[in-house]
Amino acid sequence: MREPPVVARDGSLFDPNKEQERVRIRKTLHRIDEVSFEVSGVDAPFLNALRRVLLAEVPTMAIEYVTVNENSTVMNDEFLAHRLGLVPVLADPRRFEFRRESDEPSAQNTICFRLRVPPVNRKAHPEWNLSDGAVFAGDDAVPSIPVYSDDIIWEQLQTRVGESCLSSTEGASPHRSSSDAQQQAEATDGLASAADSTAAVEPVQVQRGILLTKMLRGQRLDIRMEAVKGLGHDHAKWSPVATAYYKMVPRVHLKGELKGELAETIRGACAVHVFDIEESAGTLKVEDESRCTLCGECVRILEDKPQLLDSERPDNYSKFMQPMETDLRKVYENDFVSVCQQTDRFVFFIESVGQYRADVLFGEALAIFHSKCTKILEALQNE
Amino acid sequence: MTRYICGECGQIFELDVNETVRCNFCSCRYVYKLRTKKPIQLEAR
Repeated sequence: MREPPVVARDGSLFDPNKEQERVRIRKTLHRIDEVSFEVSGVDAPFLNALRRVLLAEVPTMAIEYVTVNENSTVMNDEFLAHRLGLVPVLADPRRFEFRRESDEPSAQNTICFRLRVPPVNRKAHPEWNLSDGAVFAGDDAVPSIPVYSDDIIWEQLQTRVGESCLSSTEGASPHRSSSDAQQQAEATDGLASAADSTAAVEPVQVQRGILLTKMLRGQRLDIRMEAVKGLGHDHAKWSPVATAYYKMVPRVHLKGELKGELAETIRGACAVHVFDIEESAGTLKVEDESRCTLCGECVRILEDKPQLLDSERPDNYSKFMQPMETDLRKVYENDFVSVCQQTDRFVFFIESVGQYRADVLFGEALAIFHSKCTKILEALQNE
Repeated sequence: MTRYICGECGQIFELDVNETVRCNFCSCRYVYKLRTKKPIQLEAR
C-alpha cells in the first residue's frame, strides 16, 4: 500500500515509499545500562516525542507509602521518606499492575520492603570514649554510622483480614532466625497472607550503595515501605531513565586531501575534536562527526590565516554560505571543509536507571507512543 | 509524665507537668520532646 508523502518542517518532502528515505538505525553503543544509536530518516519532533515518553510515561515501581514505626535519627520522617522514594526498585514493572486508591494492596500491585537498623551497641565500639547515657559526644568520640540502601530488605506482603496493609505494624520478615519461627507462626494467625494465594512471589532488590542517612549511637530506625507502579509524569522517582536525549549529527565533508599546516590548523580549530590527522599519510580526516556542534570554527579559522589559502584560487577568502530560500539548513563552507546541518540525522542516547535494559526501553517507549496514536485515530474514525 | 531528651548530654528522662524544665543529669535547660512511638504514614514524595 502506498503511504502518502509527509512534508517535513524544513520544507523537504519525506516519501516513505522511497528506499533512500527509509528510517535507518545504527547502534553506536550497546550496554546493559546505556545504549546509543544513530537514527536517520526521522525528524526531530518525532524523536522528541519518544524522549518525552521515556522520561514520563514508561512505568516503573518505586516506594510510595512509608510507615515509620521508629525514627530517633536526626533526619526527620518526611525527609527520609523522600529519599526512600528515590531509591530505584529493581523489579520488572511489566509484571505488576497499577494500584488505584480503591484497590487493595496485593502481590500484583505492591512490593513491600523493610528498613530496620537497631541501635549500635557500645560494646562493639570500645574505642568510643563516652560516659554512661551519653549519646552525642562530639564528632571525634562518636563517628556517625551511615545507613545505606543495602539495608532495605524485601518483605512478603501481608494483608490483615479487614484491615489495610498500611496499618500493619508486624511484618514477618523472611530473614528471622528459626528461634522466632514459633512466635512468627502465632503472630500470623488471623492474617490472610498473600503467600497463600500466590505461591511463588519473588524477592525484589533495590539499588544498593545509596547513602540514605547517618545515625548516632543509640538511635534506631524501623520503617516499612510499599512500592507501587507509577509514571515519571507523576513524580520523577518513577522515571526509568537516568536520562534520555538526542542530538543532531551534521555532515562534515573534507574536499580532497589536506595536509601540513592547513590540516593542523583545521584540526586545532575544532573545540570538540571532530578531526584528526591520519598517522600514515598525514592527511586530515573526520574522526567523529557526531561530536560536531556546528560552531563553524573549522571554516572560519582560515579567515585568520589567509596565507594557507591556495593562492591560485581567485576567491581568497573563506565564505559562509547564506541559507538558500528553499533550504533551511545551516551550512558553513570554504574551499576545504563543508559542515552542513542534517535535519533528519540524529544520535539518540538512553541511560537506564536499572528497571529495564537500556535497549528494551526504546521499544517500550515506541509501544506506548503507538498506543496513544492508535487511541486518537480510533476516536477520529468513530466521529 | 512525658519523656524528653537533653539537648546537651543526650540523657533521656521524664518530666512531670509543672516541673522545672531541666535535665536531671547535667542541669542543662534545653530539652527536646521524644518522637512518638506511634507509626506515622507518609508518602515518599
